[in-house]
Amino acid sequence: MIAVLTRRSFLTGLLLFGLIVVAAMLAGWIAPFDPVKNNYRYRLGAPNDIFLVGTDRFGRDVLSRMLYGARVSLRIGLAVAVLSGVAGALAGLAAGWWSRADPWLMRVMDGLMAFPGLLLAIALAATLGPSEITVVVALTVAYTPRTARVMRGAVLVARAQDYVEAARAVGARTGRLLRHHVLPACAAPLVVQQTYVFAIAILAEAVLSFVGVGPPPPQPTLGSIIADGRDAMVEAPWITLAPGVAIAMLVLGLNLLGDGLRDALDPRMRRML
Amino acid sequence: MLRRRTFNAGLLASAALPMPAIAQGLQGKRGGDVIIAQQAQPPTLDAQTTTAQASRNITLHVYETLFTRDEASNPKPDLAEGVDIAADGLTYRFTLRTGVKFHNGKTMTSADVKASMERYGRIGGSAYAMKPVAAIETPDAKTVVMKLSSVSPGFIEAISSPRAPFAIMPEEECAKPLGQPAMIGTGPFRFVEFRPDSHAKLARFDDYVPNTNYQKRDGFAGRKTAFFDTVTFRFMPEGGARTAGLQTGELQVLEALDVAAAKRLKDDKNVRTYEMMPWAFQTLMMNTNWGPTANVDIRRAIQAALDLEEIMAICSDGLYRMDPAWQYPGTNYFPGIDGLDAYIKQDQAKARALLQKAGYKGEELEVVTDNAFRNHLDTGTVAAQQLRAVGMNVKLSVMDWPTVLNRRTRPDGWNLWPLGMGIEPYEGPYNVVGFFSGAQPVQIKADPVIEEAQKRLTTDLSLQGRIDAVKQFQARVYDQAISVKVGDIGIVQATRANVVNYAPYRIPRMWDCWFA
Repeated sequence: MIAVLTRRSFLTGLLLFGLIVVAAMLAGWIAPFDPVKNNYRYRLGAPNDIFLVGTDRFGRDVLSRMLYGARVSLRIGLAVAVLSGVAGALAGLAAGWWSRADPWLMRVMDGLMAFPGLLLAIALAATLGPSEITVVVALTVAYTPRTARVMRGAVLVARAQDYVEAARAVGARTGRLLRHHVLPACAAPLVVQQTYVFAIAILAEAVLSFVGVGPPPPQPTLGSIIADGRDAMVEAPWITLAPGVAIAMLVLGLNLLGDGLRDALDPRMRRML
Repeated sequence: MLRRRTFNAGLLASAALPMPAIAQGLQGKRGGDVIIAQQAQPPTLDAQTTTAQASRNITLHVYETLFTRDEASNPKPDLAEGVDIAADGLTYRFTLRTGVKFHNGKTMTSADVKASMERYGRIGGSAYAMKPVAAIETPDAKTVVMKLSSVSPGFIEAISSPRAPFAIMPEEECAKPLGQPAMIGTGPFRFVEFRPDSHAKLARFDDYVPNTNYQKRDGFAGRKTAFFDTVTFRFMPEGGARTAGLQTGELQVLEALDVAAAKRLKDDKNVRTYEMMPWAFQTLMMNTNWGPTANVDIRRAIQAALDLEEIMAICSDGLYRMDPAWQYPGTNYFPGIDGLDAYIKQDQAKARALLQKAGYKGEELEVVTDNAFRNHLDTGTVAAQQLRAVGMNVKLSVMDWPTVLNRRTRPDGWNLWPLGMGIEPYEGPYNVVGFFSGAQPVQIKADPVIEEAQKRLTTDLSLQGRIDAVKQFQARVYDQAISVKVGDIGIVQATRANVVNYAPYRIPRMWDCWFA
């Protein structure tokens, strides 16, 4: 396991992700300017030694906005990963364990999955009104089915294991079986799945903010900074480029982390090493 | 005996007293196919029925109207020689230009005008303008007499507006149902084809009869000469693609170019940019019926808290004019700007004092805005921050455009609504004052003084009386802080450098210009 965690790809992921997380957490201290303070005299200014990543159409410092924006993106990503993890785990567990609930639950999940996730999120955001919470709710609904499916598969495998059968034979109740024998066996795929959800949610948040159903202005998110700069892409490329690179780093970092975790937690991989 | 007077004597003398005809028109090079890009595609090309800019860009090349607007947006005759208005204001006698040809070869007569105006009254986009018309008579082929049931001094303003043009079409086409008439007009270009999602194509009408009362183009009026063989309108939603098309020469004319892109292309030898000021009012509408903005002192505090220039600089991308008047300078009804200085200067101390006087205790102020028009979103965003700076509790709700339009008609649930008013101020005072009065005033709660001003505007037969009504309206809006006029927004139109004699206007006019 240690060997996996010292692999170069995993460390790169950790570095990329960690760098952004730390920067976002320290935004209040390290951001050079107020992220929502307009100054139209400095509109669309190119990067210089005062505004390191330039200014946007409102004359706001893009770097400060990115730092605060990353905070929102991470917060949303984490919330979606945790919430869809809990909801998906419960649904998957129920479907995998109680065969009578299985067809119903999974057909509902299939239905949700057949619907384009982003479109669902846009529709939800349009009804509930744009805000951070709406984005979290919408993306949680959109990504729960995938998690549920992964979980169900893992539960089906676990419940057929001899040790589960044995535990049942000695009279263990369902609650105990699930808590002590089934859930631990499913934890690894769940955690790995949720790191991907984390990454996808950050991307999706960017897309939602880009089309204008994210948190309302002037609050920055990485996606809304890009949307803001879209019209001036040729004249002021730094507004779109810098947060774009930040999103790419963040998602790449998370995916590398997820890959590393999967390798580390997969028993078969462990044997190979 | 009925005493006759010319329409708006003095002000519009040229309307009834045609200038001496100039035999020679504009000299330019004929030929060539010009492609012009516009953002939206027209919902229909039935000119009378739609107020969409995407439609009138095209239809105003094909159709003409009795009266239209000149360069300064004042009414001027086009298919009419002029109009005699009876002293009681109830009879309008239009004399038509003779020998005007439709694209199907037919000569236009008073019967066509009567049928077109009657059709407009049934299904026109601004059909309310025809409401006062009780009867239309055609004593002879070149005379149309409209009998009004009540005085309507804004009648010529209304029927000359290009918002949903009062297009004159052949009588037989007028009988066809909505959207069905063949596109046959009297304009300098005739209709060729319309491919939804792609383009509309027009061709030069070689039998066009120019209006020899003028020497050159004048707004939508004047002597129009078509030089291009064909004009193609391409529908391209993405701004970046339109700009790129102009740079590569794929497109020759743009109805609008992003201001930032215009700055970048200033030094491009292949492109010419034309700034057009003014294009629209930028306003911030208030709901005087609900929540904090029902209190006049809070509304005054809002006006005092705003730095109008900061809003304008950001929402217009730098192409703006600070102009507090509710009509454009240089137009017939310009009310002046005397006494407005005190209102338009940002004064945060005054704003705080007014809030205190009003007993403001942090009640939520709801700003509703859309994300379809950047000037709206930016105005809402910047205004919200400026209001927070004086201690107001502002909630900014960003919704899609149809939702906002629906929301703002509700009596509650919103306080501020940023709106760019494009065509209304161009049309004159009627739809600006009308926006704040009548059955559905934009500020929700009808204001007695504005109602009175609107009544005077629509009944007073003297121009000075009507200008006074606009002054009364403007003074009231500022005194009661009913709405904030932030400033005037401009736009940039652009052509390739080889398009000669182009002049920017409300729509890009493809007459009186040619390829070098």
